[in-house]
Amino acid sequence: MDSTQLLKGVLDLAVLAVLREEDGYGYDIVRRLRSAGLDEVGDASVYGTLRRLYSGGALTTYVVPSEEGPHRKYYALNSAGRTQLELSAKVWAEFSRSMSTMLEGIVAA
Amino acid sequence: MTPETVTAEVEQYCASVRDALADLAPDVRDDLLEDLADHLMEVAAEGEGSLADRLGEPSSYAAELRSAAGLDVPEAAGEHAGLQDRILVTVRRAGAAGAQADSRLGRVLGYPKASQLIRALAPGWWVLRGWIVAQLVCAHRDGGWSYIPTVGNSALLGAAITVALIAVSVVLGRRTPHFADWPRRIAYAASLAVAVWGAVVLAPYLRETNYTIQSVPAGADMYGGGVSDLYVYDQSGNLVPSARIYDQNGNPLQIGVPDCTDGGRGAGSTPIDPSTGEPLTNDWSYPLCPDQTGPFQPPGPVQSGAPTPSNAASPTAPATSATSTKTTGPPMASSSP
Repeated sequence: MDSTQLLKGVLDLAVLAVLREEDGYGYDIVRRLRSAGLDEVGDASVYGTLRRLYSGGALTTYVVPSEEGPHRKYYALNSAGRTQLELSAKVWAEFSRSMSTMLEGIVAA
Repeated sequence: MTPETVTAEVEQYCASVRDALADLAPDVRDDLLEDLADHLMEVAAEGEGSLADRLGEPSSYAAELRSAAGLDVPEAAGEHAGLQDRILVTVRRAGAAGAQADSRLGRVLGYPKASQLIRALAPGWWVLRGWIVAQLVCAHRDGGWSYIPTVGNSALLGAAITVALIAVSVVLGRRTPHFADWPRRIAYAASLAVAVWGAVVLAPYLRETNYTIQSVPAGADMYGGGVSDLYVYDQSGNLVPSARIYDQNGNPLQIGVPDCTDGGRGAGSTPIDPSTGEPLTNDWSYPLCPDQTGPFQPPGPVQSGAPTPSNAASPTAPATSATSTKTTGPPMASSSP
């Protein structure tokens, strides 16, 4: 199974989780997801997800001026986003527990 | 971000992604693409390889962006409901089909996409466009026509205007993609108008040279030799002075000296049918000059200028026996096989 298929379902959760640690702009969030182990994550997927979460009211944005580079739009969790993160995290935890139990013994730990 | 800092590659990639999302509402699309240029600049600055190598083709980037943003299905809310909704879906499908055809045709042509070939050919169009506009402003007014238009008898001025307009067209062509929405649309519409004008108004001029040659035949080729004139003799060997010769379709043969400068009638006068005294109605048919004498004299008495005997050919039914051509005789008289 391709991990990009799995990512589609959990990218919202991953992005929310990354933003819980610290606000970030688009490419920064891409980098953080990759360094967290989601190597396959596509740039466009992250930007699209950010846009959708923002439209859905889970995120706020603010622009940070920069001296050398371009002004960057930072994304931050708001309370709706935090609630969504908690709920999704619970769903994921249950789901992943079920899957892990089902697949026990197949992959050597 | 100023345009100067955006590399051509980033610009190109951005434009392609934007094109692939052309079916989205402008504000939604602008929202979605707001960070794209900055993002691409950062990616470009970060490592080796083209943007397409690292991010995939712009079309797939656009598809991923669209899908992740949840814009795969048009919002069924409010203004986009119902018929408009279906239209949007149709337009989007057409766009996707177009993109696919673009790639497939491109493979045949040896390019990643057919549109890339068209883009590569664009400078050629810019030059042609400049030339067409030069024709529009110069040659048109003189009523004349040449590849390099003349302005008031000055080919040099015409050439200078042509070169200048081509230069303007090329510069405009390079800049048009970076115009804002409306100026860009206007530029494309004007460009289309020039193309249509060129095709409709200018194309006949380009063929005109051929028309001129065809419309004034200097003679006819027959049996390997040039035939410049025809004379009709009756069975007794008398010249038939007013005989007219038609082809198998009933069209008068336009052969012979087209202007009757000799014979005392003066140039440009209408040929007169000597038997009736009336001007010849089909005055381009044979013979053009009523007082022809013929290449040789008949054995009997010459009846030049006199009305044709009744046993000889009538003016509309020329005799066939004495003529050296197989194309004589009106269509009615020709026997059908």
